[in-house]
Amino acid sequence: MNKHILLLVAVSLLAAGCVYDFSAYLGPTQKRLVVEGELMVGSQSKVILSYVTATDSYSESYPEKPATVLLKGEDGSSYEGVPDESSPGNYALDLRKASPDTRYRLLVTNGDTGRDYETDWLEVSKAAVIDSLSSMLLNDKVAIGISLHANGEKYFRWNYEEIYEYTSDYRAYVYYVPVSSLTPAERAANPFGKVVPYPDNENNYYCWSGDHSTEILIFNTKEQSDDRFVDLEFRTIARTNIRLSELYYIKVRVATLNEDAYRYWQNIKSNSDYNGSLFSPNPSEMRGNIRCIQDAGESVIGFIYLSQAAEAELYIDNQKTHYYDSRGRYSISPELCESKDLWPNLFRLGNIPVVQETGPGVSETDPPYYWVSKYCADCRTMGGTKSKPSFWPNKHQ
Amino acid sequence: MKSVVRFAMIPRVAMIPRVAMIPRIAMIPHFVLGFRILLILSVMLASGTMTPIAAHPASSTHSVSSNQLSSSEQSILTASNILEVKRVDLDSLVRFLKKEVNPRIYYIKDSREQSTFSVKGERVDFFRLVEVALREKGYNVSTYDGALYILHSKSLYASLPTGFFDRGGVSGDNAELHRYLASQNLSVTYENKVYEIGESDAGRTGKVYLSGYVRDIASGEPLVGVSVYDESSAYTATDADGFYRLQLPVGDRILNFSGYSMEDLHLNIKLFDDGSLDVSMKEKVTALTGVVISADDVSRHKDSRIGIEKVRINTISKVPAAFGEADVLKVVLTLPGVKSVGEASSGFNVRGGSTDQNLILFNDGTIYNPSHMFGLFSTFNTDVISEIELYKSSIPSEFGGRISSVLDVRGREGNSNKLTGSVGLGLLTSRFHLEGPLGKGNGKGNGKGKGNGNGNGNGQGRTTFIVGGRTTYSNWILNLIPEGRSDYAGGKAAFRDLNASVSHHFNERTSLHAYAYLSHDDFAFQGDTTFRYDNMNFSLKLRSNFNEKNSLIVVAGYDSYRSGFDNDFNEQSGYTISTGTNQAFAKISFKSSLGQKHSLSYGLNGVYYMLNPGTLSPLYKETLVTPRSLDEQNGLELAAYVSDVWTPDEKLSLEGGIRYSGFVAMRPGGYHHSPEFRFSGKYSFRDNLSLKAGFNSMNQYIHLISNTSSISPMDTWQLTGDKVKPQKGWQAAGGLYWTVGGKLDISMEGYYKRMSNYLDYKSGAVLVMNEALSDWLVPTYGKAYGVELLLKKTVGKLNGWLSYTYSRTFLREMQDRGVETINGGDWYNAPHDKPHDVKMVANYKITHRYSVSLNLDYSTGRPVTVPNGKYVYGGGYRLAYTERNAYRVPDYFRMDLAMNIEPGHYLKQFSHMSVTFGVYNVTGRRNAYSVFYTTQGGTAVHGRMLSVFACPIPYINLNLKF
Repeated sequence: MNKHILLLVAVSLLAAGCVYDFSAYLGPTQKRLVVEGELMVGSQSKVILSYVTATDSYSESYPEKPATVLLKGEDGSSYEGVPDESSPGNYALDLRKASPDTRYRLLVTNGDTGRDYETDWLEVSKAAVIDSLSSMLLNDKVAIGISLHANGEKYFRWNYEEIYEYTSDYRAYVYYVPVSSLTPAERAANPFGKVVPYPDNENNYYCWSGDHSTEILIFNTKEQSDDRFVDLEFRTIARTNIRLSELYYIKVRVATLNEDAYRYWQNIKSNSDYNGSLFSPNPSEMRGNIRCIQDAGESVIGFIYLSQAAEAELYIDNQKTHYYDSRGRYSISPELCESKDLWPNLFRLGNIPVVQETGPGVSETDPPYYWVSKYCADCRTMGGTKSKPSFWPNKHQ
Repeated sequence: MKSVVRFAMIPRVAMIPRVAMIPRIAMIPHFVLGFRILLILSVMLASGTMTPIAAHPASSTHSVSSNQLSSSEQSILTASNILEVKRVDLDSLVRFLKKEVNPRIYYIKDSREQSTFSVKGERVDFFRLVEVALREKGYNVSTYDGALYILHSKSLYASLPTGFFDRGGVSGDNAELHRYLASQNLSVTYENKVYEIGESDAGRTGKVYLSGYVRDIASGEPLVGVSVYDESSAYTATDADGFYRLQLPVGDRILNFSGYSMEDLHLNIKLFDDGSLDVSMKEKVTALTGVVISADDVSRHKDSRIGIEKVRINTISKVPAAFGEADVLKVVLTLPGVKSVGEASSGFNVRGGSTDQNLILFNDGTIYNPSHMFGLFSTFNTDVISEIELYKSSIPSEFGGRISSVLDVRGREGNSNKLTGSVGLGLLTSRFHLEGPLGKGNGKGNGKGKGNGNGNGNGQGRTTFIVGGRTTYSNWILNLIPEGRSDYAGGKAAFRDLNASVSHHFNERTSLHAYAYLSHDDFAFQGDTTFRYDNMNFSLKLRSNFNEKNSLIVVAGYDSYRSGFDNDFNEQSGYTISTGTNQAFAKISFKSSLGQKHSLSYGLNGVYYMLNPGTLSPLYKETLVTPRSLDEQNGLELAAYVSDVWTPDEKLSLEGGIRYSGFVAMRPGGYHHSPEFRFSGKYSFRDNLSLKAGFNSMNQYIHLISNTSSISPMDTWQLTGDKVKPQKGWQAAGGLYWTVGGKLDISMEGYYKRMSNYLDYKSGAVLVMNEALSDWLVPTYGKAYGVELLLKKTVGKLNGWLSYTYSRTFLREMQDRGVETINGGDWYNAPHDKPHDVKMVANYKITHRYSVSLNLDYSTGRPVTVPNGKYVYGGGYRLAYTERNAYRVPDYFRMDLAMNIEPGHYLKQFSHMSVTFGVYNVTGRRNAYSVFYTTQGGTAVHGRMLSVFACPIPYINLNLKF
């Protein structure tokens, strides 16, 4: 066969079988109520109320008027949801003292419509035991795996929160105060603004950032003799990811589910993630376990379940693991600015001073400074903040 | 007493004389002569003598022009009458002469004859004038024993065996004569001979039976689906073994043999008694046929059944296909009324039926998954297939067990004369096949005329074999696809298949066939999952035409379909799931001719099902996975049927059948039984205009449970039991068929169809390894209707077909499950509901060797379920769905072009190479296989469109025959 033809075919096949972006008007969106409740007995939990919004909208929609959220126990206990001022639609339930040995039902009244919603009496499933969280190096990625076991519980869902510390490329020991921030008296002395050293412990070098799982993490041991799994990977991070650069922390919270709740999650997962490939199942919506008392025909989204809490955490310290691959990080070198009158312009263009020039013949009182783009010397420009978690093991701020 | 005539009939290649056959119109008593006429063509050939026929008194003037030939006028003839024809062609002239002069006229028209004739004269003189006119155009007219013969004088009969005509074709030692003829078979144009069946003194009256085999002259292979008919209502088509049987009145007939890619054959026969006549036909070489589907227009007008499509293999190889691999299923998809959910999807949908409602038979074995490589190729190796037949509406009573259609794929019988084979090379696949006679002393000289049918099948058996195989080397292409851009990226796919069959003819009446078929597929996309499936079929078939009126076919076999997948999470939890659908079957069917106008079929079918709905086992030794198996399901399907074709006259033909089927589920238990009805009828207004109607009902006891749009290895089959009811369906259909000018077939068919107990599943159902699967299934009603228009041109340089279909298909849940009821209990679009559909397949033959093919396909986009909104749940965006299948993907359009180069006709050359190259999807349109929305792990909502072949795909395919 002709080699040229082979090549031609190969090249054209590169474009075959592809996925393209597609957008179209899909019809009006029904404003349906969503009630999410993974209630962790023995822990702080929350119930989240929201509405379905159009697929192409960028905003989320929550009930405007306050709702009442109540978890009633068969043993006579009851726990009221407290609206969380910082997150709309969130109602906090303190279940730290709740008994795992009774049944509960959730009652919700939507403040917007006045409609009442309820679940059946639900049992609390027994906690799983997290044996370990571990990290493994896989070529250019780091995988985090979970090992756990349970006694009789076969369905698991977990989610995670991660926090990581990172630094900017250069540590700035000084900062620039523009003219507009100076007092009139200082202005006269510093017509181009002034550069001031950071006080001790203050910097824009160390930052903290965090994230939480958005994907649905579920697993079952239905086909296994033993209800456990070992090093099941659920999170992979590229070695070039800045999360691994200093100290990475992940906290995993595992809920055990009954089969119906598991199936509900699985359905959501396949509806939302496993779509459109040749053998992916056609989407179909499964009914949850919360219903409207006034109108049995209203379709409410959400499956409420209760589980004893199981949590575990893992730190990955790059000082010890050396996972981080900094080759992907690209930065520019600071440059010496010898003339003060350039400062306002440099600053306006996004640069900040890093450190003063030292050496023989350099003015002690009014030295020139090295300047660099703030993206290289201010860690906040990379999405993090200076708010260090209270439990963070590193001492620096 | 019976006698047998066995000849090879080889029309001459260069010159194709045709015996046009004209219905006898009004018999004029004067010319009713005795039946016992010896027709010997040589008389006319040699002498050129002719006896003018005395005209008879007529009383009125008849004037005839080419488009005005009334046969109904019954005039009183007088001597003063003037007869006139103006610019009529030879056929019309003869028709006129038949009416006015002599009803017994036989003529052979030169195939290139374009002449017209204008004759005017007194009735007494008229025939003489006609004769003059004919002679001017090169025809000789002669008479013998009261019949008239018009033959072209340029015809080359010089090489006829001397003494042949002198023998008169009668008496004497038949066997000796036949042997002699057979030895001369390359030099005789047999259309010019009269074949006598039976002895002239047999003394039979009324009707007698004529039967025989039709074979390819070159390979000795039986020809399937060849129409055999005479000028009256007698019509039949050869069966899978090339066998035909026809009931004909005693006397002179012209028997026509026509099959799509064969030279038409018109034989003069003289019937005295029951007998047999084996015929060898030659493939059209000079005729410019490329793509020719379906039958000849003849079977369309003669057969009472509706909604039948036939495709010969030479057609299949010319229809452009992705990667150039000639593909049976892709050609089926170009037929009206057949749809699929997308380009790379296994299975097909016929008239609104789902993919599991098609009975796909390959040499009588059931194929459960007809596709290789996620639907890119079909499992049938075209090298070993002779023909496929698709029954969309009228399903013969002998078939059952599926409610939508029957696709009957027939393998070829090996060449009985010599060892031949072929090798095919494509970009993704390669294939080979080998065939030939087995054992010594077979097929030497001629493959015909063994034994002599009079019952003394003197041990001269004939054994042939054919084997074929295919494999793929597609991984190199899959490896080229960049990651993340395609489903196939990083994937692996491999398949292979093997066919083998051996046929043994004990004698002309009895033969035994053994078939084996194996196929294997495995493939993986990105991720942890590897899929695989296997088809396996074995069958043994005995056929016997134990006397002139009765034939018998007995088939027994074993079919197996196994599929499964591996989920390789890690060493502790990795597992593999496999399912199996196995069946042992036996069929016995009889065909009998009853009386003059009835043809009866009856028989018994039995299928014993052994289903393994799922076995789960660990992938690794050090594992936590416990092996588990779902309960095996067993059931026995039994059916008895009887059907009758009643042909009261040439215009009307009716077929009625009843099939009583029952199903006993041993596990999970339960039984069902009910009758199925098959009716069809046709009425021909004229030779070329017929009307048909049909009704059929069907039961199905095995169900495919799938949550994907096409057949996937994750699907499971489920038997009917006490919880799962059998699927039932009925279809009423009607059609109008019109052949214009013998060249263009126009047909219109309409249908209305209902189904019940088609299984859908509850939302969230887990279909694999589910012990309580039947609790998760919901039965639905199905409703489908449509109109199919087909325009087909089978002759000429340009041929092919163009079809338009309007059809709708809906489903509705049978039970009310409250808010969970799909679509609130209303009708919703079935996944394959594509209302408008235009298809064109055209082939233009530039020269004998070069032809160009074009394929067009347009259809409305298929329905899909799209999200109605999004919401935040579990930390990320999720999609909300409401109505099922309410949205449609963009319309589908594709154009393919191919160029076929056939080998030159150097008969002595050892091998012939044909080359096909072309471009699939010339316009490069990005046709949507699916439109879907994902949330990418919950972070954002994205609309996506999957396009399987989103660009022009060039291909080249080499085929070497030796």
